[in-house]
Amino acid sequence: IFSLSCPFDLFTMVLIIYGTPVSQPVRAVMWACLMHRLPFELKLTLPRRTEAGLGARHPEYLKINPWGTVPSISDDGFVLYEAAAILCYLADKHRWTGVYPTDLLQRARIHQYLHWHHEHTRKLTLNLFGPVLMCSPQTRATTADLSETMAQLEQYLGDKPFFCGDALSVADLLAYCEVGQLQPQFFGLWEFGPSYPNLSRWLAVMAKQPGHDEAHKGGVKFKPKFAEMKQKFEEACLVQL
Amino acid sequence: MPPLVVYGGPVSQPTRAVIWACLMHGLKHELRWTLPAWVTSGEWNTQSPGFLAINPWGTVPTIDDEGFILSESAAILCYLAGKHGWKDVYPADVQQRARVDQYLHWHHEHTRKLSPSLFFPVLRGNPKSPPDIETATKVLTQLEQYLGDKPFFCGDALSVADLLAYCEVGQLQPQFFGLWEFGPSYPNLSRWLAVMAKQPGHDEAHKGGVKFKPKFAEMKQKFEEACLVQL
Repeated sequence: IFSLSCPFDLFTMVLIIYGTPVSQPVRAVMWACLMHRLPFELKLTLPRRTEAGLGARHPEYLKINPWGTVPSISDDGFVLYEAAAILCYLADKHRWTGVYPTDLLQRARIHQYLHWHHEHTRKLTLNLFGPVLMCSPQTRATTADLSETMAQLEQYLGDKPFFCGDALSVADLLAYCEVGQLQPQFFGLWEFGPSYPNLSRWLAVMAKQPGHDEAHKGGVKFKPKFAEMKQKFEEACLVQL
Repeated sequence: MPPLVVYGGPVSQPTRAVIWACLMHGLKHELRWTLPAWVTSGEWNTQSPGFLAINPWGTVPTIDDEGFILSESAAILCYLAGKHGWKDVYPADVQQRARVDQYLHWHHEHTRKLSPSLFFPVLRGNPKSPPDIETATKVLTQLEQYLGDKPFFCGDALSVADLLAYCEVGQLQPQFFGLWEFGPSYPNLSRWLAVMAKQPGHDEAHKGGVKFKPKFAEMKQKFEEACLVQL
C-alpha cells in the first residue's frame, strides 16, 4: 500500500502523486520515492477519463494540471508536472545526490538524457504500448522504426553500467519504466535477447535495485488485463491487413 | 581558455536559444556552422562523419566546452547557467527551478511542434507535406494558456524557458519568417513577444535569422505556389 493512514492534519503534508501505476512516468516517480523511503499517497488519476475524483480530464484535475497528463505532484501545496522535473525537484529537495548528483558535469549528462528521452525512449510507449491499450493498430510503429529506437538506446547505454555513467540516476529510472515494461515478465512486447547485450545487462541490474518490485506491483496486477487487450489488438491488426 | 564551441546555425531554433543566453551574459563563444543534413549536403552537416564523431545523434546544438561535449539545448542552457552562475535565468530556489524544468520538459511535445508544423515544410518545399495549421493552432492556444497573465513563462522573471520558447514562437512573426499572425487572439503571447524582443542579446541572436529572411520569403512563395498547384 502506498498511502499512510493518519487521522491528523499532518496528512496533508504527505507528498501526493497523481497517476496510475500503469503509466510509465508515474512509475518512475513512485520508484524514486520508494527507493529513498519518501512516503507518498498515490491518488489514482487516469488519463483520458473524465469522472470526478478519478479522471485526468475532470475540471478538478485540470486545475492542477491543465494538460490532463500524469504524473503531477502536490507537495504541501506546491504543484508540479512533467516526470523529469518532478524527479529532479524531489531529488534536490530531499538531497538524493546519489541519483541526481550536484556535480555540474554529471548533472548535465543526466539532463542531456532526460531531454533526449522525450523524442526517443518515450516512443516505445507511444508507438508500442499505447496502441495496444487503445486498440489502434494504425498508431503502432513498424518493427523497423521500433528497432531503430531500441538500437539507439543500446548505443546510448553502450558499455556503461548506467545511462549516465557509473551510477544509477533518475535517467535510468525514467528509461527503465519505458523499456523494462516491454519484457516478458511485464507486458511482453519486445524480445531483448542477444541483439541487445547492453540493454539486457542493464535491465537485469535495474530489476535488483531497491524499490523496483514495489514500484512495479501495480503494473504486474495489470498484466492479465493487458494480455487480453493484446489478444484483441493482434486480431484487430490481422483484420487490418 | 579557449572559447565555448557551439555547433549549429542561426536558423536552428534551439541553437539560437543557446547563443542568446551566451550573448545575454557576455559569454564568449565560437559558432561552428553545422546544418541538418536535409538542409545542406555541404561539408559540415549533421550527418557528416566529423560531426557524428562528436555527437552520434547528429543534432544541433551541441557544445564543446573545453572537451566536455553536451547536446540537447535545455541541458546546455542549464549547464552553462550552472557553470557561469546565471541564477537570473536558472534560479537556485528549488521550487522556482522546478517550474523552469517543468516548462523545459513540456516544451518537447508542445512548443517544439511549431517548427515541424510551420517552418520545416517551407524549407523542405514538398507540397505533399503542407504546413500543419491544426497542430500549430493547438500549440499556440496552449502556449497562450501556459503563459497566462504572468510576465514570463515561469513567473515574474525571464528564464531559460523563455529563451527556448521564443526561438520557436518568435520566428513566426512578420519581422522574421512571417508564418503566423498573432494579433488579438493571442494577447498574452503578443505582450510577451514584445517584451522578449527588448531583452539584451535579442537582436544579435537573431541577426543570422534576419539574414535568411529574403531567401526564406522566396522559398515560401515557391512553396505556396506548389501547394496551390497540388489542390
